[in-house]
Amino acid sequence: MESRRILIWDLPTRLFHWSLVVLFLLSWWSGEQGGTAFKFHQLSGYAILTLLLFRLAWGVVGGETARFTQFVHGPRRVLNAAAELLTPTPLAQAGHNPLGGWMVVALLLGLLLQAITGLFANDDIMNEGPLMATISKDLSDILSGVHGFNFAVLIGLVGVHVVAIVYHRLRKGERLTRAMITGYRTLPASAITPRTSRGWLAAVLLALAAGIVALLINL
Amino acid sequence: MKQHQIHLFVAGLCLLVSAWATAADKPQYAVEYRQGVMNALAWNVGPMGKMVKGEVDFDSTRFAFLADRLAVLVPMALEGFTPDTAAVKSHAKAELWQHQDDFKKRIEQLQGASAELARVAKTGDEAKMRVTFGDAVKMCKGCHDEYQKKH
Repeated sequence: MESRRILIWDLPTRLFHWSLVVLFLLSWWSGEQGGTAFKFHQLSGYAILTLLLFRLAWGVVGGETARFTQFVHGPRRVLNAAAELLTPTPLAQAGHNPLGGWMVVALLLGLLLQAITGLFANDDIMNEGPLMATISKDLSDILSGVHGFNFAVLIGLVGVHVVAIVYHRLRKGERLTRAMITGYRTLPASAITPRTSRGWLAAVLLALAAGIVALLINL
Repeated sequence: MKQHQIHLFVAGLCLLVSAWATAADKPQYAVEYRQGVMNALAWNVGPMGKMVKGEVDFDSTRFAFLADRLAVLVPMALEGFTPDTAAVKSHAKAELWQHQDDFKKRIEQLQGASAELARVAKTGDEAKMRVTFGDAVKMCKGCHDEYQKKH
């Protein structure tokens, strides 16, 4: 079968993904450390919140494969994708498949919940989120509990995500990690090249997101 | 006031006092006691944390004053963690009552760390204060992660 190399992930989407990976690990480490390493946890959390706000906007106006309308589908297509997952045939599709699309939604929502509860959390020792003072201690304790529990959920989601990537590599021979690094995948010649978006738009959105977060933490 | 009214009043008062005395032995009071100690710890750790994090200027004299308080408060906490409080609703996880020896050991380690912090604070060595403080709060967190539930 004829095939060709096409750009499926534009640069902003890739930078978003890998920055998030690094910041997720930094947040995990600094969260476990607590105490005086906590400043890294806070900064990392603000950066993640910035990235998430950017990604939500990018999901509306960004490159084609980054758009929610492109990868969020109803149950029938999700079930079809799940059935297709079991076969060894590589997917002929650029971007997220309907099953992976929901994982993106789950990860984004999970991370958003984590970042927002973090703003209101406290550790009962010496650290607190920048908005903890705006709510009662009881509510802050509840949100801190959610922050702790939701981290376990996130680890689970990330685990499934990584296992799925390994599965695609072993069962279907799809090099998805490389695609997220280089942006390119080799697909059947019939595959349609997705539209990419403007880099300057991504830069503007990111700056806007950072501005919103800066305002938020100084409330 | 007639005599029998006085007797009645005194009897009532005695009843009230004895009821109060019994109430003082309730596990609930032990929980409130230890929460009081924990709150006092947080009250004093807070400003030290701000100094170490650089949110306020480092004041060695004040730091040493607060460190002395911690060294007194930490050994007071354990008394409130009596097994009869296991049934009282609190932030203590069930694991705490299953691993009381480990819990006790951790508090004793924190006692050592807080005594060391108070000693270091008196030397005026700011860098060492920061490190020792960091070690101590790490113990707080380690124990909270293990035995404290947030909600």
